[in-house]
Amino acid sequence: MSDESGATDWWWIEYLENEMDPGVEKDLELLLQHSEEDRVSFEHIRQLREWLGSCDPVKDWPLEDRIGRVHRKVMREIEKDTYFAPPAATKSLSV
Amino acid sequence: MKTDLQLIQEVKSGAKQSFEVLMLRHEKFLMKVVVRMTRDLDAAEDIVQDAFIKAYKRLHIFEGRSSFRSWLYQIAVNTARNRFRKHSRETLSAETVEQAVAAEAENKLMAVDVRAILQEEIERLPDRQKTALTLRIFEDLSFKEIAEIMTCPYDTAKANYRHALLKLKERLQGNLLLKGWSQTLPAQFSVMEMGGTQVEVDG
Repeated sequence: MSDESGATDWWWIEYLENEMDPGVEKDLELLLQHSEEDRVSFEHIRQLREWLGSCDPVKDWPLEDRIGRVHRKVMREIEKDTYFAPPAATKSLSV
Repeated sequence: MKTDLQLIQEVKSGAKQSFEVLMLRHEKFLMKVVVRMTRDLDAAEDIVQDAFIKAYKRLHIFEGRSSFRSWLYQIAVNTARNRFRKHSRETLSAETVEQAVAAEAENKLMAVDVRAILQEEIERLPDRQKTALTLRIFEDLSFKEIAEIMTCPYDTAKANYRHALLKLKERLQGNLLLKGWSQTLPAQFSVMEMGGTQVEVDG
């Protein structure tokens, strides 16, 4: 079933992302059990996804202080703003 | 817990503190994606701040057709674009960055750090593929959310993600150091042991 064009890779991606139809999923699992070539092909995709998970370039950047500062600044701006001021209480004309 | 839409209605009725709840929900996500875009903490701080203030001021036009998060993301992206346009003389253009990254990637072909290689390769992906990939892998968003953010159909978001993944695979396989990447696997290989991701995708 494996081919060089990587068409089957699409299936592995679907499978890993839980996007696969359950019926087809069973067939794929059977295929993986019996075809070493497909196991290798699948493992490449699985491993790549796993590696990518640890590749976030900003994962260890110190963002908490920045977020706190942005939060305070935005709320200060909003406090000054009157765009969404609560409607003034209307006086009843009825006696 | 109130939904974003309920909170937005409250803000529109004058309850400013409800906007603070919205901020608490989305500020971390927004800061992360903007820092990833700019790689500059000061610039990211300004952009996120501007984006939230713009979002507040434009809340009256938010109709809830997309999620508040994807709407906020769009505002942040536009704010970042405008900022880079304004500071284009001081800032490297996207093209320059891409060329620099590509050249660096070539120089580092022999580098042993897979993570570094991958980070460089991610940078070289076309914008929409990179967006789909980073939102899925780093932010764990569903394809439905990614489609909303990218303002494209669900299948297009998924296709962009797949193309990105396959391009990265191809480039990794082209790297001589990774030629021996998982050539063989144990015969008793079992799908159950592989720990496939459990990402919930709507729709």
